[in-house]
Amino acid sequence: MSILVTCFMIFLICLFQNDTGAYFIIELAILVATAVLAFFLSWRRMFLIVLSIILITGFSLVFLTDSTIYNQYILIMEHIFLSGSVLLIWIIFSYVRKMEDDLEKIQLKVQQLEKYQGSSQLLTLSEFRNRAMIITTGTKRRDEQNYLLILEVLVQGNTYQALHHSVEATLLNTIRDRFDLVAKFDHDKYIIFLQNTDEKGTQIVIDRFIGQMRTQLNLVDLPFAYYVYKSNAFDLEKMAPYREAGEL
Amino acid sequence: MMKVILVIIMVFFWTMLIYYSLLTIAGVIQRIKHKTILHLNQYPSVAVFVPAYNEGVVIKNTLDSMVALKYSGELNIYILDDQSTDDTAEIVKEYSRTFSQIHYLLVPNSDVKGKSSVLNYGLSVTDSEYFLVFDGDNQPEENAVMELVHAAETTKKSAGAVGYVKTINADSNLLTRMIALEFQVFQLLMQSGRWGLLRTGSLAGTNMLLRRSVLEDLGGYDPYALAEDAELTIRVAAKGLLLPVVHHARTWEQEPEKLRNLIRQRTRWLTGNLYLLEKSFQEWKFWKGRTIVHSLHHLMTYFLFVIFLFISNLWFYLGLFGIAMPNVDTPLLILWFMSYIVYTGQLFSAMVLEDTLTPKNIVVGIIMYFTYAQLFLILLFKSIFQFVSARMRKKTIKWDKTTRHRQGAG
Repeated sequence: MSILVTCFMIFLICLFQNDTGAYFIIELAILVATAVLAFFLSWRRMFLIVLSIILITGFSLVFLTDSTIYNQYILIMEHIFLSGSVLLIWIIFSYVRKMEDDLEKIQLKVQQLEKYQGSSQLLTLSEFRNRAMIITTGTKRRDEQNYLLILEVLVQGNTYQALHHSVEATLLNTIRDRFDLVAKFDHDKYIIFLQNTDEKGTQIVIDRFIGQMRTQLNLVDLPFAYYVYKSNAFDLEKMAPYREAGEL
Repeated sequence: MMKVILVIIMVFFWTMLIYYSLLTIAGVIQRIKHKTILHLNQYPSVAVFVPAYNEGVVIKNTLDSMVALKYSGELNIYILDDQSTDDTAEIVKEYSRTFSQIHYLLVPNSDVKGKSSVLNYGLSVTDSEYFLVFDGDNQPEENAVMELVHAAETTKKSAGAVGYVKTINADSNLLTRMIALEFQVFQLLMQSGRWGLLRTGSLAGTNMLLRRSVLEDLGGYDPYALAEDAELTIRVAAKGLLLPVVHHARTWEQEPEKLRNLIRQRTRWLTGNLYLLEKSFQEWKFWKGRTIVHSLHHLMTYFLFVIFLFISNLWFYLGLFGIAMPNVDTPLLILWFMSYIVYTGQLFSAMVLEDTLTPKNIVVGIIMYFTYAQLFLILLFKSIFQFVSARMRKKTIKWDKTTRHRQGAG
């Protein structure tokens, strides 16, 4: 990339070193227009523009020359530097855009491959969905029931981060290790997948969580809302229930 | 008088340059258009013809690709064996015993040998609605037939459709790399440009689909045509029919790896085009409707270009030897420079469209004007000599088959 930019600078210097008046303005306008268009057009469409510029300016040399060899030579050199600069703008923009696309793809891939959110032991949403799906296939075959617990933390302000830290640690402590799943979504909600359990088992988890949180917080009214769904009543793609489920 | 001739020559060269520049831009526009996904209610029957003569080193790969072709209608593949003396028949028969759609046909001996006679035989023993031609070394992509049929069936007044030929051995050496780039420009960019701008397409000899009824109307292939594809293109255009260019129907084929083989192959092509040029001087139908585009192309490339080049070179050398010539104020240096820019611009356009813009190809693209492109002139003079001497001795020029190489052997 640095080589391309260096080449571009050299071409610009060569292009403008002897230019005066109208030529300078026309060439500058062509370069600026190319750069602006490069922002909006795909690299193939942009190539069409670059090609047209090179051909049109090339053919226009016929009308500018006085047909002496020296004058033709000067105009040809001018055209080479202008074409080179326009081509380099296209190459640099295409290169940067390709890097952006690649980065976006890689980030998406990493997101899919990541199992845990940040440094916590909470699963990423895509990992949560995948594991929940695999577990559901097994539990369905064994005719077992799974439950989902959605926990919403109703706190904003300075204590937001600290409280979420406590909630995450407590949740991971509350659920059955290597058996149940926890993930965070929408910044302030947690989804907990409880495998092979029933409403009673779910309530035990909630009570255990509330109990442990009370030992850490001074608040009388705990800032949590929670909702319980049977796993087959909840759409994990939309992260919303298929139908209204009773709030416990 | 001399001054007028020189001015005419200059106008001609500038017109050629502008024409090719417009074709290049039209080709790029045509290529970056979005492809529409089609589905026909009914798919016509298609017979694939593969003329084969001593294709033993390549036929296995060809057949593997033929078996993999996907088509929603009836598709039969006929290997038309033109009396091969190697193991071609043995390999094809092994496939025809295993796969129901592969058929082996031994072409009987005829007075005039060559691809046209073989294809005429194929047409006489089959009865599909369409037929498609692939050369013996071709490896079409699995959607090639489907794409060609879609284009033929959805284009009004179409005689068929023509696909794109890619080079399978482009990386073998410098020569094949240059041929591959040339194909990307002339097979694809110029074809797409002509289709986009003038609604004319040229049959490429391979990867081309035709309605059987059209060829029957035209009286079959001309067995004396060395460039049977170019000859048929003219007759199709003279009928007022269209040949849509389908750049996403691709086949891969081998190109000559040795200069000697390339010279032989291209001499045949050029001689075939000279045969057509001769025909165009004799028959009025060559100058009607869209046919004029093809005839003008032949006239400009194989006749006027050569004559004007010869006169301008003569002018240059007479001037060098001090013989006084009339002086015309014209920017010759810019003309030469623009010839280079247009030619190299075409190469780079093709590389961009085909995603082959690699450092190696860029270097090759820069030097091709001074190397590979100059070969055309040598070949053209060789073909003119061969054609004229054959005419004077009243001899038929024989079909000359392109040498095949075992894939991966380099």
